[in-house]
Amino acid sequence: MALMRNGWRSIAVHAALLSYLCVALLPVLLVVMNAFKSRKGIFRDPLALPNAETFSAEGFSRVFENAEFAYYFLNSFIVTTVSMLIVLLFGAMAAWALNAYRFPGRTLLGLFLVLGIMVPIRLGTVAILDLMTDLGLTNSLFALILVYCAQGLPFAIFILSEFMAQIPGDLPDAARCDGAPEHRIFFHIVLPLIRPAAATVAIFVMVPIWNDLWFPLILAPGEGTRTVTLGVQQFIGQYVTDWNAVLASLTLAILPMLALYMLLSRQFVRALTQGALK
Amino acid sequence: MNGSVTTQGLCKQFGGSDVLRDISLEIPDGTFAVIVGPSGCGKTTLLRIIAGLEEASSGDLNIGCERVNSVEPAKRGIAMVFQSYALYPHMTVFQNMAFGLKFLKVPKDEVEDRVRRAAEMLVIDELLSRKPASLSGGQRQRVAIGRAIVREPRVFLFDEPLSNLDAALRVSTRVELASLHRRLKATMIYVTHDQAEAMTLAETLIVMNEGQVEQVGPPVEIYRRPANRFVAGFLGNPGMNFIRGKVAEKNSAFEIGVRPEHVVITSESSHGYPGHITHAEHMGSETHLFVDVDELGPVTLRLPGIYECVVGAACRVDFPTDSIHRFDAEGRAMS
Repeated sequence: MALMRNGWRSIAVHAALLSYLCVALLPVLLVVMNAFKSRKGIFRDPLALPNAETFSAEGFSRVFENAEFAYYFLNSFIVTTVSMLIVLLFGAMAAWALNAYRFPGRTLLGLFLVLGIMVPIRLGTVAILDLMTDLGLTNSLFALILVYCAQGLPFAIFILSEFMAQIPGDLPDAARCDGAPEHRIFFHIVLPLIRPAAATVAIFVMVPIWNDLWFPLILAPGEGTRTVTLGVQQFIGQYVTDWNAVLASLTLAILPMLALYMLLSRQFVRALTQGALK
Repeated sequence: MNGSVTTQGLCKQFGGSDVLRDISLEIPDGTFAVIVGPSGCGKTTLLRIIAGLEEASSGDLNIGCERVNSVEPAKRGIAMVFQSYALYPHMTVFQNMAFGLKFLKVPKDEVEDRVRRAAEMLVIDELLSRKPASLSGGQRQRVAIGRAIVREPRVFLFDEPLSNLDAALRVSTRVELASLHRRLKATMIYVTHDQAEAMTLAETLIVMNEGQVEQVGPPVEIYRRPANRFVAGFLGNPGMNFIRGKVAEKNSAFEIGVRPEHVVITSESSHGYPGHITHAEHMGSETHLFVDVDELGPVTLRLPGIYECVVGAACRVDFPTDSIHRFDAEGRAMS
């Protein structure tokens, strides 16, 4: 009887998850599908798969013809990876400090750092733009990196410190008895142990940065600093939109994230199966 | 390389409460000292202060002839074996053992040499390329000890190292630790709540309770002449029988204590105290007999071999006067 109930419950859970998967995948599927169709094919039946008659890669060729597009990708790549590395490094450092050291105001500082999860950074856009203008940082990738670090750090600190709380206190103590200085303890003991959590955080931090249109549009809309999401906009005109090129560039923009995701999730699974802490 | 450890008036306050109160100890070079006490008595805190992982609130700590109160753990010439072993999970056994030598600037071939020698001594040389997760509890224990040995410390610190092992392994590791001490001749300070470990391993036994040292001395001496009621009750299994009232007054004491092995069953009706058997535990080699004695209350006896008896049967118990420990109203032993 209990088995039956469990069976039904697991079916229900799977049904819910599968329907969510469909909802989440459908837009992506539509984009990729239509990227390989001719203009006519897109408009005649947007939900149809490309066939011999409608297949066309004209969108891709137009994206590749556009020399600037490589730069847009490079910009996105620089902003995303640099932000992610900074968020991971400083997030892990802050999380470790909050976990491993006792100092006055520790709880308050922890709460303050995590507060950023609850307050969307976009609420501060006007102030941020003001600040960046005053600092002369508009139209620079550095401005974007700064903003994305602020955006990613609270979440990173929150997740990583939850994970670091599981590291037994004896480990850093043993390293201290072994004569390891504090920074070595962090880099040689703590960081390797939080690899699975770091991979998770990396994915969660990177995707919104890569996909962001808001801050590139406001802080760095100049030709030299455009990111992919902003670059795509040039195919969207007031009167005519080059849907082939838009969809093709969006399809291309998905690829790096997909690759990184696969790379990191493999690492994630490997770290988990190794038994990180016990 | 003098590995004596002395403390003078060591105190530790934590969050307004006294964890350690005025600890003054002298542990000579090369001694196997065991600190024993109930959980929460401050013994682990004391060990961590000696290791340098925690700071004393006041008092002096000397290792060798040097005051080390504010010296880093690694520069004190100590090595610690943790209760949880605290092996680095992402490193192989070899890397675990060699990790500390990196910071001592030991040349590479000597690192190799030291690790191999320690591994051979502990019979873990087959495991050097394995990760801790694939080792059994006993093997992890050996690696943890090996990691301490390669540092060639003046003082070894053990924090309940055997408490995660099963009973059979605990006994054999105990014997190995004793022989390791004979071979290395270094000072060892060993914290445990297990009195079998305390009695068998210690050259000097330090009994602690509620942040204070209750008694220091050779274990047999402490067993024979406990300084107070706490020490008398803590050491020995089953515990000492404590008797108050008339019988104690007759011995001009507030309370008297008799070890279970000194109480006997007597057949003469003129001697001893009448009572009846409430329970018997047959250990095979000995029998623990629980007797409710009318004048004394519940009394535990420890009789050699298998003692055949019926629960509820009447009997008389007696104990020789020279086996009595006498205590005053404050619990101090009276001479």
